[in-house]
Amino acid sequence: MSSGSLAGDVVAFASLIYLLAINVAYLTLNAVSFVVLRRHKQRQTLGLLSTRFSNLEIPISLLIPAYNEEATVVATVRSMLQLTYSHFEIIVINDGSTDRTLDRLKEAFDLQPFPEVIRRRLPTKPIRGVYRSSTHPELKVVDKENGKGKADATNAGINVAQYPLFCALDADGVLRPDSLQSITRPFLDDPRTVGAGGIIRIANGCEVVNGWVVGTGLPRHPLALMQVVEYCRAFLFGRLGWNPVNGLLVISGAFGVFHKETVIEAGGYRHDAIGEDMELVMRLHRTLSEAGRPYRIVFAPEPVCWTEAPEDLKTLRNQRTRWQRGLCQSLWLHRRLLFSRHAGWAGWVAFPFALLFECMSAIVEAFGWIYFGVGYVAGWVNLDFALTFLFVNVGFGVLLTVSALLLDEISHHTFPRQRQIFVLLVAAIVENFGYRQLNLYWRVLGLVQWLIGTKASWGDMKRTAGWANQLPSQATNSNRA
Amino acid sequence: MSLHLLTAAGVVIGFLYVIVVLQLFSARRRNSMRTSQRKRLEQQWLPILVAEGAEVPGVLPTLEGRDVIPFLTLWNQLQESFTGDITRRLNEVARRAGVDLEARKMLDHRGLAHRLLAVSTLGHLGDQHDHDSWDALVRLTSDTDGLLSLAAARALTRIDAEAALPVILPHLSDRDDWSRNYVLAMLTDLGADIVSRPLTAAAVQLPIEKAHRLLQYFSVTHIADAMPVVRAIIARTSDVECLAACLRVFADVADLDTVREYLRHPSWQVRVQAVNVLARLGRTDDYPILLPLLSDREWWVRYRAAKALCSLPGVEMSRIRTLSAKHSDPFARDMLVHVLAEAGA
Repeated sequence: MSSGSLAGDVVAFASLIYLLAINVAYLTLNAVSFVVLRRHKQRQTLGLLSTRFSNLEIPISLLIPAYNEEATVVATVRSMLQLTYSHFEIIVINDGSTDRTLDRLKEAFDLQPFPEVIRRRLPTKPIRGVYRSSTHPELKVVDKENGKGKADATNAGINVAQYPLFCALDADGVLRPDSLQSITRPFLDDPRTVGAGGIIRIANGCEVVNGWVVGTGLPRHPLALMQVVEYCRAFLFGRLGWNPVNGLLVISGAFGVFHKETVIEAGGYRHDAIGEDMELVMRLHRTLSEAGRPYRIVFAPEPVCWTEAPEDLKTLRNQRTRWQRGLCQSLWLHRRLLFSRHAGWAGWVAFPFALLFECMSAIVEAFGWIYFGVGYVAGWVNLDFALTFLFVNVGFGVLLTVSALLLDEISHHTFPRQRQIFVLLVAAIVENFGYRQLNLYWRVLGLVQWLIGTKASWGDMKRTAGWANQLPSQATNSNRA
Repeated sequence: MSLHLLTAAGVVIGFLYVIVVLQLFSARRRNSMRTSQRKRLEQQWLPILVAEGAEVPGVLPTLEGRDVIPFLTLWNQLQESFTGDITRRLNEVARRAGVDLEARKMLDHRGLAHRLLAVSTLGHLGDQHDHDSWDALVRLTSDTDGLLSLAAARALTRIDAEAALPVILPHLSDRDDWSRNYVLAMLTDLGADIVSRPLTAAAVQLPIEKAHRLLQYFSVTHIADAMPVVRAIIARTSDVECLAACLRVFADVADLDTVREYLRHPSWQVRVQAVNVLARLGRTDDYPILLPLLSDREWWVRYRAAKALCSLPGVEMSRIRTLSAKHSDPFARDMLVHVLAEAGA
């Protein structure tokens, strides 16, 4: 401090200590993830104990809520129809789309009205009709009035679902042929499992044929490329590290499997939740721990779902502000989980972690940038201190990303070409100059929006559906005939 | 002071960064080496391991120490994929290559992956004279690791199913961490002739709350062995889950009167299982008995009752259609329409 002011010293040191604390916490989570992954791989030595268990897979309902998804929904359903799983149904929930989503489905799968008697266990907006495909008996489409969000649509799907597990998906998700086997494995291994999440990866730049990702590539668009790095970080150590202590607080709504009855007992997805996926997982933690029921909510490192990342700033901003609002709202709604007597690691470690390092970090980090930036220009922060802040911030950011790439290499070897790794290593550095600050701005914006009470709605996602266009339209029909 | 801090942070982060990047490239190198090793082993050993009809060559390639684990992984995968003559050939090759001895040594290895491979290998080899391995596997069925203990149980059943069952059955009622589906698969592989009597006999000797756990495996038993046990349990219990589990096993028309009593049980889980039994075994005269259940307050009971009505012998679809058109209860009517649509009628 050039001015030598005590207050300035305290603020600067507090910011740096917070910065160090958050990064050390993430590095610890990272180290735990390495151990978890190592153990997981050891346990996978024999594959599924035996490959002869296929007739014992737990039946599952795939729920695909769709709102104005005419560009991708048919291709998504075609891809899902090819999954190698012994017993599953696909339920598309058309949430009052204003485009041709329903018509596209009717045309593609010869949908016929079906007099379904719906077991209304979760309240939803009225259902206008249920359709069944004459060509694919495992496909149902629920047409309902718009419920202003994914939660209402998913709840309608849960009401119609007939199997004990359900998998919540996005309308543009692409699974691997064995994704369902891997994501239901925790339910087979441990009967206490009530929820499991898999990895979401960016489909932009990948080669998709007949609804399968056959070659992993990197997107050309810089925004999508930054998201590849970001997703790698968020899904590997950001979630895997919580497994040993049952502290996972979020399962992505784009690919998560739940025990249906447990979710219904908890009240289903909350209609007014902005981040309905995180809110549900926190509610499950809270209600099950309060009831003293043994349960597990896990992250499965194998199953992958590919999804399209936004390539325009407006969509990305909407997505990120919505995520931040969802995080704040979930933490607020379930504040009773914090240091609750029965909440275990979820309430004593994972919740404070999310509050301190994921929710509040937006404010602290933004304050840090402004304080050190303005302070340096104004002369009350010296260059060394400002550089230390910048260096620690960027240095740890890069380090964490590279660790995530290492975890990915060990677990999936997603990027086989050397060039891809070099591009990602460069992206890990470049994202710290511009992209990260932009994200920070959106997170602060999301926090402010939450404080002023912006309501839940469908995310306004602009899809290019590039991968969907690679689908030969008749390919899957012939496979399932 | 801040300059020192900057330097210290730089050194620490830089050091960690270099380590992680080196690890990343080393992991890529290891991945690529493993892939080449696997390809080499497959090229070298697959023609020997799975050549149908041909004799096993007199001289086998030498298996180097570093190849033992990938070889065993490949060998176990093949064991899981094939049955019959090929598995005997796989065992002969394994013994001649000396991996049986390696597997025995690996039982005491610290790494879980090594022990799992060893357990699985010894199970597939099925050497009934290897008493040391048998004893070690019996000990491993009590291991705290659920996967390892279950793999040991499976290995024992492969070596000598009849001798293994008395070891395993107590675990079936005690261990929460043994996956029901895996156990069911293991017992299904053994077959009802082997499993039926020991399993039903074990259930009889257990208190109700533990016997209930064995009931979930009764689908693998002969009905003649299972029914006396199920009748005895159902007469002694009022536990809803236990009653539902018992009803799932019912497969004898002689028990239909007992089943019909449960159609009025206060718990819908019991009612629905009773309806399911009638769907399997019911007679035409069960038609009026099932009718009131179309108006049950629980969706599943209404649904199963409608399905059961459609499956009763001598009940024509036209009769169900008429019923659906004339039924005074809209819930029953809707359910009949639903089930008729499902049946394509």
